[in-house]
Amino acid sequence: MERERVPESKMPDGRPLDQQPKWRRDFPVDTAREEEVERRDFVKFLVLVSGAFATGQLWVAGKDILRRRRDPLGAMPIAKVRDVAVGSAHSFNYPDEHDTCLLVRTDDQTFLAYNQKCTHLSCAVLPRVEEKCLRCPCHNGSFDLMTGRPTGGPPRRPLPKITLVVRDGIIYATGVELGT
Amino acid sequence: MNDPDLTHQVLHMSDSGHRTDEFAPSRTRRFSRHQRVTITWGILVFVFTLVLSQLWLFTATLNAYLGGDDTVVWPGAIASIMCLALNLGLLRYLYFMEETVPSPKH
Repeated sequence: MERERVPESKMPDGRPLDQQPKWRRDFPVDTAREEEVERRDFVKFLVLVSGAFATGQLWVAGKDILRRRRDPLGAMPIAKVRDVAVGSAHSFNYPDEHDTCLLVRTDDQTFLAYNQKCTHLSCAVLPRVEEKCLRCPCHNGSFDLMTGRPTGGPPRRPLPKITLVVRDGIIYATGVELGT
Repeated sequence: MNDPDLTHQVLHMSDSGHRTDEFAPSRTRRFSRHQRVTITWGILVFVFTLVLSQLWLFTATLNAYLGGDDTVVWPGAIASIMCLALNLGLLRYLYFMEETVPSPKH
């Protein structure tokens, strides 16, 4: 049976195949046609990436809907006033057991609480009350103790603030404030 | 075949890969090869720019959302979907461009 002849490729320099270097003779690709297909495939791939980004945006929007529908957080007792000395910190979990937070007492009347997760890469921040900051040991990020805003290092977003109410000598966490 | 520029003619290939020129050209493409290359490059650059915009939009939206600002979530989603629709339209045009039409009679 006669072997079928493969159609000859058109070489970029126009010379016939037998005058081409060995590597091109081994892979006689019609470059002009090949490039066209590649470009079209690349556009197809980019459109796929575009679809992935649009899906990501919709996912964020879906999360936003779920966040709005979630029931408001209830008040939860976290500590007694007399148990938290001035200049000290107390750890608690709010709104659920996976969210570790810090309660800091800066003076007799002032209690502040923040989520302990650094907004950079979720390391646990540590209170430095005398320096009036919360410091992340992983990448030397720091946050202002009074506002939770980032003051140094890689974090760009503030720490989520826990709203507090003091009633009958007991400190209650009542909600989470996310700020930009 | 009066047209010396045959680069935009559709080559009739048999199943074995041989070019069969009998009865050709019966169909041609809408644009010459040179035009198609230019249009493809234009579409590629445009789609690439839109995808980069979507990347920026996604990171900015996610950053704002995680920081508690949810006002940008829906406008960002709508803008991203519009970019996707535009990209799909351009991709469709790319395939439309490759389609053949009956060649004009000389």
